[in-house]
Amino acid sequence: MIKNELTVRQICVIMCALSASLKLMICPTALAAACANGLWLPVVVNSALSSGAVFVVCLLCSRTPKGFFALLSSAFGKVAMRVAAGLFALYFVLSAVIPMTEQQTMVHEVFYDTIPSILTFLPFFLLSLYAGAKGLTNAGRTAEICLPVFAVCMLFLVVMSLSECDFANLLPVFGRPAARVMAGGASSLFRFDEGALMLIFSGKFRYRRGDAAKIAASTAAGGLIVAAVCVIFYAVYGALAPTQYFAISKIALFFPAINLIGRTDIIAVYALDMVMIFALVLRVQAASYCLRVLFDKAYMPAFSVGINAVLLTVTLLLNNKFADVQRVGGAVMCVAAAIFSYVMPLVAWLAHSVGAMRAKREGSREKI
Amino acid sequence: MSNFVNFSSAAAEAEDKARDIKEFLTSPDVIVFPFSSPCGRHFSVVFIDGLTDKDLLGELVVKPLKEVGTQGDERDIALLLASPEVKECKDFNEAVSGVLEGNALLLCGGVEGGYIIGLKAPPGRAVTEPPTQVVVKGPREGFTEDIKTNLGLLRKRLKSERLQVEMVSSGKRSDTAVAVVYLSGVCRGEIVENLKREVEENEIDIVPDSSYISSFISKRPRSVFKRCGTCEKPDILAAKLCEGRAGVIVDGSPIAITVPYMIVEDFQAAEDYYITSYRASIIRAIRLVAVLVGVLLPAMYICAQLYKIQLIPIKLLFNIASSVSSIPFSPSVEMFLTIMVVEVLNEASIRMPKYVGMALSVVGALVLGDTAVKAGMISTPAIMIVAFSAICLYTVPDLVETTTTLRLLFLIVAGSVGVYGVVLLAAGIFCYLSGEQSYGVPLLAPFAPMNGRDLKDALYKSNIYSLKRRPRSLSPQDKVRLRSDKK
Repeated sequence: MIKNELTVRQICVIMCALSASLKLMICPTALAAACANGLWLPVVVNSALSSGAVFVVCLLCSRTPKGFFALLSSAFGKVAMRVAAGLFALYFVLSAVIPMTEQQTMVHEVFYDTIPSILTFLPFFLLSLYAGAKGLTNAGRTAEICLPVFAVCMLFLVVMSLSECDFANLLPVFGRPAARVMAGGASSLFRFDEGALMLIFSGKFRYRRGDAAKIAASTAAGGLIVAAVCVIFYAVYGALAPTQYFAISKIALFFPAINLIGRTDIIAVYALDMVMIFALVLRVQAASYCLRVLFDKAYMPAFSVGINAVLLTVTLLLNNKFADVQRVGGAVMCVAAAIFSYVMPLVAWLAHSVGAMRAKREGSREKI
Repeated sequence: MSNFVNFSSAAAEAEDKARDIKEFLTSPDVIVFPFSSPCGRHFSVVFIDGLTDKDLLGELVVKPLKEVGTQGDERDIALLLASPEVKECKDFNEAVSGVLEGNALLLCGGVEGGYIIGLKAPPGRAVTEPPTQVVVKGPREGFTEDIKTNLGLLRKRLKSERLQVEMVSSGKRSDTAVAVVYLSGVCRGEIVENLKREVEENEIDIVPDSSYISSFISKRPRSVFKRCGTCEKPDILAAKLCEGRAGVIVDGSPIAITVPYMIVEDFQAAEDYYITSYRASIIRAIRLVAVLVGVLLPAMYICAQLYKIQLIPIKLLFNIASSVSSIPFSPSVEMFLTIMVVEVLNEASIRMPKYVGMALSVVGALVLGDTAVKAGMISTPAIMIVAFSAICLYTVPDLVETTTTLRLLFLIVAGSVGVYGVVLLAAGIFCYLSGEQSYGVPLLAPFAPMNGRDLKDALYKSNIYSLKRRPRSLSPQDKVRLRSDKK
């Protein structure tokens, strides 16, 4: 029996708004450096891949009410399920590291005029600790609160930035060599890991006809929002884009009224940061859920404490090593994301098939 | 009380029974009035001076018994009494409770026990417009401190056989009457059961106000956020009952409680339903923005001054800089002090007599404010921001207790951590609220979990013909509120 921890709408919001928000920090700048005016192409390609992976998982949800780990358990046994849960927990913890360092750097650069100490970022772990101890229901509900915040802030920032856009900067549209676009896509693949999240959500919602299309379309919509921000970012800054970190805080900088009303665009960035925080915390919640499966226990604060202790240690160790984290972490996480977001959905299908065959065999044996 | 044997004895005379009661209720305001019928039968009436209607007692009880003699059994006596509310009472404790409630106790010889006659007339004020829910358009009647009046006001609006009133009592010593009201077939049964159980389970000496009951029935009474709705007007309570909620009316309190509670309720004023939906929607948006501004503005001002000057436009920045240059306190301390002054003035103006209140306003607003600025203790922008924040918060008066606390919390975080702290605190509050419920209904419904149909009366106020169904978030038994072909 499915315990409906999430609704389809909540999953759609997570895939569209929360996932997109995490890609708005460094991703546009990194892609501008890699692909110049073709920065939006890798986003579109990766979004299509990610939507495809999500669609594959959703199709599986339409066949069986079981979740990913339950499928693994019925097909390959409990040990395999626990190993997978442990690996997924590790993956979600690691996948939080890069966005967390980006968040930390963004906070230090955008939120403060001076360079504050690392202590200003540490309260994040209090929230992460608290939210991590809560279940996926809480994640879904907070995502729903984030939707209007995300929509209003994005609209506000995009409208403010449109007046300074020079879309000629993006021409020629397909002028970049395919190899560079591919390289850009590969380097940012780890940011498009919605497939892994969807595996965690499988079995947590009641699937109805057409939900697969809805969720996949939401994922694609999130990707398109990121692509749109990339386009606007490059249209505003042109060749200077690779030197402008945290695109979302820069795109509306030249809005004419800012001299009169102050940096109101930053208020939208602050509000958007709340969405980013929830998107980051979602990784902790997912990891916490995986640990719950691993140890076969109800939600325990200890899981959240453990995960946050690891993240806190990593933050302290990697303080001021933003570039190294981006370079090394990006390379490692691309491989990890490819496995957990794109290969694992296929493993889930395999588990479903094996489980179905085994059930059929046991059924026929009982008949005999 | 086993010593008071005369009361329960049919053989005892009225005077002996009255003596029993008087021995137990020794207070001088408990009056025993003995009289006899023409045929020589003795009666005694026991009542509390000031709580019982003496005119009615004379007219409905004493006069009939004095005019017509009777020697018959107890049924005859009951028939002679002209009061519509007569109850036989054979238990001493029950008789004492009846007298203490303000009823008259009729005692006579040859009859077991006595009669409790409903002649309660406790002193109380008239039905007036409540000060916290004033409307320009719409009904102005408000609840009073008398539970019967309040139930009558509710019945006046809900002439339905489905309106159920279940009486329970709370308070070991006060024995306060508490009425749980709901519409059967609309409100979920488990809400009423839980409500009654939680009211009755608490053993406290006295329940002077409904706020005590709201603490009893809250799952987390220590939370900054309340778990029960409140209303002071019968039209609002009637509307809430029709949506599928249950209400609690407490004797002695003009404020009724409603459950389940959703935060969005506090943004819905009664007047929203009596004016055009467009105007109501605009006002709701203003309320929401005002509360956000009221809570966050002082904190953001501190953040702008301490951590992010770019938030302030350059011309305004110069003005602020010249204003704050001579202030000896840090922006956080300055803002904290200003808020404290406003809170003190607010508190004093509520408590002080009206004629002193006027002088206090002059002293507080003009003399204190102006002098403090001139003395260089507080800057003009700080006063302006705190004043505007206070005004903003009062656009949603039911949430003021919560929002003023949050404002202080944000202020502390802004002064110590800065903007990121403010964002984290806001996220933390949302995260906390997302998991909280009131009688099975999420506090943030219909936003989280989102319920598209309920948003018609939440984010905006839709036309009445669009609100054909009761709020789905409340899971009412009868889902249809309006049957009409109009759209």
